[in-house]
Amino acid sequence: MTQAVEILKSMKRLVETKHDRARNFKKQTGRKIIGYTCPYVPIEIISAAGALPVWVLGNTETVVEAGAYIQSYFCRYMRNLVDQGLRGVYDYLDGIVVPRVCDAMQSFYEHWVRYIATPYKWFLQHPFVTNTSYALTYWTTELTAFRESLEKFTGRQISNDDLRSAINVYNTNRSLLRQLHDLQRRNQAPISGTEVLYVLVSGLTMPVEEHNKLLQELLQGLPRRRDVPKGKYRLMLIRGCLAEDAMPSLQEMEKLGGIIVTDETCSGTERFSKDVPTEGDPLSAIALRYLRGVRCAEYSPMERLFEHVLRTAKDYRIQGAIFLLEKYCDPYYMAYPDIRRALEEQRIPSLLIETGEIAMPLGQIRTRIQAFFEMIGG
Amino acid sequence: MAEEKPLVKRLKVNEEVNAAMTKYIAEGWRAKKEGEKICWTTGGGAPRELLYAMDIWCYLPEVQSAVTASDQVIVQYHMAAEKEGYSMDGVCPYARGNIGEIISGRPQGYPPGTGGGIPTPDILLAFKTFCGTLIYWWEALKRRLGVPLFVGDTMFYNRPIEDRDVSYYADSMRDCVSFLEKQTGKKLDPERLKEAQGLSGKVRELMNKILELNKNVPAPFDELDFMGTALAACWWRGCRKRPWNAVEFFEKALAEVEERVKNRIGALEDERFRLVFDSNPPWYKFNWLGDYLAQKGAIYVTSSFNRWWTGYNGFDYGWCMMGRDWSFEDIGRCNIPNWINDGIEERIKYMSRLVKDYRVDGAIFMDNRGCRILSYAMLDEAAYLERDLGIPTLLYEGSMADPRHFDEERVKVQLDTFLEMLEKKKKIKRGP
Amino acid sequence: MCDPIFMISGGVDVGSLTTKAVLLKDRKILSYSLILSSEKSEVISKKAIDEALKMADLSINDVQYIVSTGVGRKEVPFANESITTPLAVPVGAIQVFPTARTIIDMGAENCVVVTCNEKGQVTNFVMNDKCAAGTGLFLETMAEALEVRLEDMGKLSLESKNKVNISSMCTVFAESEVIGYVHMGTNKVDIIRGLHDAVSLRVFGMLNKVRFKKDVVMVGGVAKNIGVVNSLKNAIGLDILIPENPQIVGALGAAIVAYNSAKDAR
Repeated sequence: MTQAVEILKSMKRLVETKHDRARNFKKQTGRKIIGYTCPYVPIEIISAAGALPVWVLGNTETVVEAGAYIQSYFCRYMRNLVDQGLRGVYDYLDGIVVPRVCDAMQSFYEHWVRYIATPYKWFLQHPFVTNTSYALTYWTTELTAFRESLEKFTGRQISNDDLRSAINVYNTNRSLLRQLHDLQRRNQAPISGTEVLYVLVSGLTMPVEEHNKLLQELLQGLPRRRDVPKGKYRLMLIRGCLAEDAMPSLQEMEKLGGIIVTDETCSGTERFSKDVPTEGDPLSAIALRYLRGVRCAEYSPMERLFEHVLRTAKDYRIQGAIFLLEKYCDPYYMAYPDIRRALEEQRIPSLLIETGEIAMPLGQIRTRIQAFFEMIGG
Repeated sequence: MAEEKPLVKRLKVNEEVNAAMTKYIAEGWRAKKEGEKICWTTGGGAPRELLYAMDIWCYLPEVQSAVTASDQVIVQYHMAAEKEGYSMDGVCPYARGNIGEIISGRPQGYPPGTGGGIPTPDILLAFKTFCGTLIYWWEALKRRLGVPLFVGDTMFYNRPIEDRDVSYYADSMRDCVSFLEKQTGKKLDPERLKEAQGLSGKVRELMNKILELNKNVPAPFDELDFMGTALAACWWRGCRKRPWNAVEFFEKALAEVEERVKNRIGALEDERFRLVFDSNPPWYKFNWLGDYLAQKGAIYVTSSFNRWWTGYNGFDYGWCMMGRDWSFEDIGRCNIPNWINDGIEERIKYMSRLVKDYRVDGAIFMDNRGCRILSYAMLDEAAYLERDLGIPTLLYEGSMADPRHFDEERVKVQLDTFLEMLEKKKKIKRGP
Repeated sequence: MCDPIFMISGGVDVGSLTTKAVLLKDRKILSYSLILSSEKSEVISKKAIDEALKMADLSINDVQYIVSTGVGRKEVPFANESITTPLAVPVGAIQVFPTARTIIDMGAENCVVVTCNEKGQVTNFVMNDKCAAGTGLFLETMAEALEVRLEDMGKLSLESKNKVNISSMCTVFAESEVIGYVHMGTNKVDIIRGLHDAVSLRVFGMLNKVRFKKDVVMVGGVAKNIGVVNSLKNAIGLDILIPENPQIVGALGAAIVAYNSAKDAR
């Protein structure tokens, strides 16, 4: 077995053991763990505070308890997160940080802090407008307040040097992930979408230095990999929150002959395409990157989302776009008709697969994917 | 079954407001032909007063969809939007109604007797003081209609407002002024803005006076009945052009209601149960709902929705008052806090206050799957009302603007059962 | 005033699948009928009451007061009064089990969970989400897809030793899922058990919403399905009482309300 496959297997194990590892980490290091839910939370600041930032991730478990507080017509992904919280799955969290992004996330924060006793909580007032000077001013004041509250909670100062170290190590992580993403541009991408999901998710639940080490080894090994994925239909995956709950659908796509070579999702390329600048005041640099460097379907102006999707689709020679959308996902469903049309104008067909509690089961999804591949294949 | 005479004494002002809405739409089309710019704006804390101060015709697609729903013609527009990929579950019914109307084209005065389609916009203005959906919707409109969009922003009001939050709104407003001046070629006269803010404040003051009167027993008007007029107030607050300056409507409405209070006339002849509602109502069925409840002597005496921007007794929503020195910062403090931008705790406190002050017997909420921002705290509010305040609460499924999500038979079963429960509770209270 | 003797009252429950009529003499069941709702409510309700009358050797004029309930309750021309199902069912349940405080009524198309006091008066209630599993129709559709008799579904589910997860909460999608499992060669009894677990999970959510308490009673057609009852017992950790004739409890409740109304009128 090649080095690459070894690393990928270990990353899968890391994902499967994320909660036990988190608890051990706390015991061994005495450090705090702070949960977050979105790529617009500047984890460099959390890291600089000496805490381990851990992304709170959705899974495929049925929502049971959260139904008492959140109606069924809210996005299942968010209900599942609250459900996990209620069941104590994340009881090792010392803090929860959620940004202003979509209404479901707002509901998530409000319900989490009301019913789950996490010691530290912060709602980041992320601007909805990303290209004005006054939004940047406001965002900087917000991050300043955030930094101060973390200092108060941890009982220690967050120095500018602390921030600079965190920026460096996370920039390294982003750079390595970009290199990985680069490899997927090849005709025979050496890594599949489902494997990339394990790479990404493992990084979200462990100290970033360790993830960087694994990524470096993985990047060394991948060019030598012989059992490369056999999928021949090059796909772009478009979704909001992407985590293990999407795994069954991704596996299905790739089993049937597709290979996901790029994505527009929040735990994917959106997260690592831009670095934090290393010159100047570190907090301002973080503010800049986490405002100007974002392009999801939630914030205005949305042109950058369209530009990114079309440019990447061309660059990665995408044959089909899969919209794997969560039922009740406001931002993506409002943008979907226009993104689909823009892709069609570039002669890239799209397939919409809806996930959720009342959604087409895998069997039917399989049929639709097969039909889609037949259409784009040949 | 034959049409029954409405049991609810409806307010006369509604008819005037409806006529004025029709006229505003007709006048807007005429103005557009004469080269005036039309603006579509979001209903939230978007500074409407600014538009009126600059004599810009302004329309609210949200209100338009509510009206389209109550005109009973919205489903065809939903379907037109869904055909283009706007999902029934994923996209707000106001947005689907509006986008579907654009796709299908809605003539002025369709259906007959109504204002019909609103003039197409030259400018789009959105402020993020409500839901994210409005922003995604306005971005989609920008793409579809190819007209310039300005997005203003502020905070989510789940913590006390700080100076920096106010500055951010004020900066947005200043930028908005530049945008509007550029788009229309008009310059903002600060005195006109002061006047508009004053008018807005006057409308708010009158609305609050009217809403207060429902604390009387029997309640002089049906809160549900008042909603249409309240929406119009929200639309036209700050407009000086008559009849849309809204001040006159509300002065008349206040007089009408005060007269009823003086003569101890209630909206119902036999008021038995005082109710509260949350979120917005099923616009395609709201008269039906009022009458159906009235059959059992039940009436909505208060709501969280009618006061979303006017505030109430310690909940300082929209505190601009006539004659007050204004600044963009003042306007920010006015528009940031509103009930729709609130966290769960605030909503619960607000609901409890209303329930106590209005001597509410029961809560009947429409579990509104059409609007997630309005419904997100509903289960929490219902649990608090039942457990902590002992107020029986019913939630029935529906959508504010998509009739396909409303099952009349199911709703009737739930309403009948709940009202019977209230009846039994009342008997127990009265004793042997 | 002492209790009247020899008072005949009647209750008619016009459901989406079946129509039931119950005749009481004072508070004791004289006779009852259960027929398919194969015609419109005005007609089928008459047929149901006629059948019950025939069995009791009575005519409609012998009945002092009739209350209707169920989906077609407003279209029963000979009823003196109509009440909703959530109001009728607990009255009937208390008659059978005086300790009943939570009643689950699972019929063909609707599921209602009601809590009540010792008099059978409703204290809280919740109806199923329109678009969700948890009704007789759901189970019937699945039975057809599995080529199994509806009556055997419950029994078969108890034979299962493996958990199968049915994630879809709506009939249409669940059916696809079931067919998928069948193609994969999954054991039928395991699929059936998975379906019953999905149904009971739905009901469990509703029970939590009304903050249920014992004794829990189940009525309606689906109460005859031992698989659902068992699955639910496991979920809530309490025993579930089932009347001998779970489908007539609504009509029984309506008949008792009729009795009380007639008594008050005197």
